[in-house]
Amino acid sequence: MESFSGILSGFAIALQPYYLMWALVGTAIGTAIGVLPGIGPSLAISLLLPFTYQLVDPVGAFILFGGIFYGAMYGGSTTSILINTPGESSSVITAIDGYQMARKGRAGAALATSAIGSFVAGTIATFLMMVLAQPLVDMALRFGPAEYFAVMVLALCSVTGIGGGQPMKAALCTLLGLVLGMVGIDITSGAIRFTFGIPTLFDGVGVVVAAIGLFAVGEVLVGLGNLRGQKQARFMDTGSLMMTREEWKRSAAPWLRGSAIGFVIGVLPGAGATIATFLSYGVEKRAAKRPEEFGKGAIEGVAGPEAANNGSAGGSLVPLLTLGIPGSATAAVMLAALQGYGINTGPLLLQKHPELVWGLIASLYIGNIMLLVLNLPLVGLWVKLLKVPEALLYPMILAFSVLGVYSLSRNVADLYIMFGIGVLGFLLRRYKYPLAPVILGLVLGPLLEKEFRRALIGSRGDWWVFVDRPLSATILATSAIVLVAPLIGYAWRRLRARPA
Amino acid sequence: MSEESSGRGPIDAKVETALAIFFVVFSILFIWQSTKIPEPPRNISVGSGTFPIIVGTIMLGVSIALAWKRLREVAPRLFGRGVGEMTVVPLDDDDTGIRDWPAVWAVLGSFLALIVMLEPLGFVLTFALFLFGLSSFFSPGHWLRNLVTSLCFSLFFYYLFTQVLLQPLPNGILAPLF
Amino acid sequence: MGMSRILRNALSAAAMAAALMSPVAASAQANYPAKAIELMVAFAPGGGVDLFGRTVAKVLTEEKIVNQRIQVFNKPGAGGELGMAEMAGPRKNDNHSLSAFALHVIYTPLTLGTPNSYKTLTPIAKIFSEYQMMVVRTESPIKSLKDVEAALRKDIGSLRFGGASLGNSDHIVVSKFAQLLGGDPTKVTYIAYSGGESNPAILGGHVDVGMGGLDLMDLVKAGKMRALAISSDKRLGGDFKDIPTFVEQGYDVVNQNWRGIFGPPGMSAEVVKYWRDAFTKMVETKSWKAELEKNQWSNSLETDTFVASLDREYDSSKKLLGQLGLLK
Repeated sequence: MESFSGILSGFAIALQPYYLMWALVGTAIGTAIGVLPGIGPSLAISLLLPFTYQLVDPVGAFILFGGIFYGAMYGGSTTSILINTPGESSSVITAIDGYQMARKGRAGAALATSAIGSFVAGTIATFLMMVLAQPLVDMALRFGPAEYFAVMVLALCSVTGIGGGQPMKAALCTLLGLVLGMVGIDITSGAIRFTFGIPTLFDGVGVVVAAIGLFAVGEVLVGLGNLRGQKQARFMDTGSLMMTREEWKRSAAPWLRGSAIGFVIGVLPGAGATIATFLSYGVEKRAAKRPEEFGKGAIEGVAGPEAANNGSAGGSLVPLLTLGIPGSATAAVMLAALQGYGINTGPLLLQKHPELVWGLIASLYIGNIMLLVLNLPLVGLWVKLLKVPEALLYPMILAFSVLGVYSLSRNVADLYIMFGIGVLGFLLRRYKYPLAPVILGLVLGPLLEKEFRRALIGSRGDWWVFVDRPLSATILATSAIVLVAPLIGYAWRRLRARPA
Repeated sequence: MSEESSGRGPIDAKVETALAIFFVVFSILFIWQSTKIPEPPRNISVGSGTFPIIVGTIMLGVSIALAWKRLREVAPRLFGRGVGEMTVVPLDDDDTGIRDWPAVWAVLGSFLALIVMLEPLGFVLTFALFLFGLSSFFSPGHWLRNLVTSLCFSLFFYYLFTQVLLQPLPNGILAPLF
Repeated sequence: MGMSRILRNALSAAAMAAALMSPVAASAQANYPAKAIELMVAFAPGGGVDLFGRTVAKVLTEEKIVNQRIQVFNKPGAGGELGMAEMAGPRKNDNHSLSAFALHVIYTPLTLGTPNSYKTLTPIAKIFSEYQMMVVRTESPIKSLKDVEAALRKDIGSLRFGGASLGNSDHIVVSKFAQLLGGDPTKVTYIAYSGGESNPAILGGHVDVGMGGLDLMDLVKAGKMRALAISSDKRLGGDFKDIPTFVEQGYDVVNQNWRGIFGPPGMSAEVVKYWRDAFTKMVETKSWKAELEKNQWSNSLETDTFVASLDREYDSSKKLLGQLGLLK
């Protein structure tokens, strides 16, 4: 058992008070920046780099960054749940049911289930990273454009239920998202599309800008548009902060499923955490006993995606540690940091610097426990935020959104885009067009198109490329089943109902 | 506020119809724009206009279906036999209605002002003015509380971003002070 | 911005007037910089330009070459155009603003048709260069550049090349190589990837030949990839001493991806001189040399000749991009 002795030596390193301290600092910073809008873990690590070179050795730095990475995933859901303002694209889906829970007085439970789910996923992902890294990375390398395309199709098919009873409107919103996603430079051909010569649009519409516009701005308009003369607050009184027995029961399976989905998707360098959260949401909706509750505050819709989010963080460390290939922007900054220490990353990392890899893995276990201890008490504090009078809370949400979007790019034009999308979102919401499919289209669309065209360039125009390859064919077949299964189930129920 | 204005009035129904028709027009415009994308001279099997045209066409289909459904609800006589549904979206668990339109205009106006003035006036000033103005619009009785909160919020985040996180924020006309 | 710009312009005009009138012009330079320097990186954190900007700021401060704080901030977007626009617009004439750029000051206006370029900035110094590497995965039947040539001569589109986005250094190297063989570079099968996405595609065999920066060396050393050629003009040392250049193998392909520092337009000549001296001093320091070594950068400091070499590069890039159909 090579990994067993490895992890023991890792704990021997990570449990030294000096490294424990860095793990604590990392998780605390990570939680804080996760809550702050517009400051992601990649920027935080970049900002810290000059100091870390002077302060810590590479092992300590890596432990610090690992803590920030996991911590940011913990903190990211907080604003989604409390004020419907996702700070990064991977917590967009959490906003749907999380915020509804908050309005029903279950903010405490939503925050708790996401904290515990993150802990479960973080621990499972770290464990899988330890035992399965090599086979998984071999599998990930087999993923070419055709396979990635198939994964995107699967993600799209599994979330078709996201619309909540209005399939046509959901379809239109997905298409709107796809349209938004086509704005900007087309990487495959170099053409510029739908920008009308405005440089800000060359990079496309940012997912965070769109999500904040759709969710937060619309919410503020509805909230303030009913504030004067309203009989009861939009937020019900927060009840118990703890999760009820039923909420525990409903969360457990989504945590486990979300962890697995997140980890597997995270290992694929071309997919990313957002896809994992969407997939998990789709799976939970299908698995749930009461799917009609989704969109109205189903705890499964928070537990699953939040676990998936953290699971994918762990997964994305696999290609980083085994091949030196970053699976996310944060992993890329961590890679640059390691190179800054003069450490050659890549496949030889484990061989040459076992103390670093095992120390990081061990400290991630410890960091997860720290995060749970740190975050559960914070739940009570965050929930108090909802006690701020609404006349102040809503303007603050808008101010927070502006600050977040501005600090991402320091570009006022992005604020105008957010304003426009906010007005659109307000209209859509008012006439019962579901909003989440817009984000789904915006995230998946560009990837779908890119991988599809890459596959065809690589095959020099041979369309069989998608079904010739067993892996891609299998995933596409799964998507077809996912799409058709509900119809068959429906027909089956009708058939059984008839004789009765 | 009368009870009547809390529901969805005739204007609402018109806007909903207009939105459904707007999507049809938008789809057509989008397809038209897609056909104008220049195809780069490169051996890529699927050009840069193909996906937009496919998506635009599907969107046109879906939006026509939605608009047709909507029009049949609104004017059953003109568009075949009516489906007999209500002319407006049912009100059950409706949490998106607006009772106070002046408030919505106030929010949109001040939000736009915040964006326009952010760089000329600087972060602290615009944010404080925005927060104070909007919160006092809704609870004029608590102006002092609103003022203190607004100033604290702006100064705290200004300090956090510029001094702790080293992310510059616009100083605007207060630049000589900082 | 109006008020502050007027104020700032008035102040700098006053400073200029004072400098002109005073008998010792050097005294104006002696107390420069008077306040913190803001160094803009026109790309997102985590990329190559970001690392460059932050490293320069760190070394200048640590070696006490500049006695003021250098605050680095990111203004990403539109291939650097948004950053260039900020320099050319609100920061015009500001002696305390700098920016870190790469090739984008030439390529972005050409490929995106945007208004700003190095011509609307004040070029201060080219600091270092990076080169491209052509690689294949270890299992590949392609053993050398000759094999690549043979395949391309038979059918110019037969090999799948993978690298960074179109018009980028990776693509330029492949195109120059194809042109050298007499092929039409637009017929080459080139799959554009963003960031490090191309590495798994190379390793997984989803592209036949990969292009990338010198950091691919880690994968070469680990026995996962084979290096075919480097785009430098001379053979590099250290880890790269066994990898031949294109030129050595008889193909006249040279491409460098440099990084440089630019000021806003209207930066005073004295301040430009101050920074050129500062960078000349910086590249001689031990800690800068250590950074070069660590990051696989090659020193290519150019100060007074920088503008002329930018002009040359602009003309040749314009020609090549035109042939590739990428000009806007």
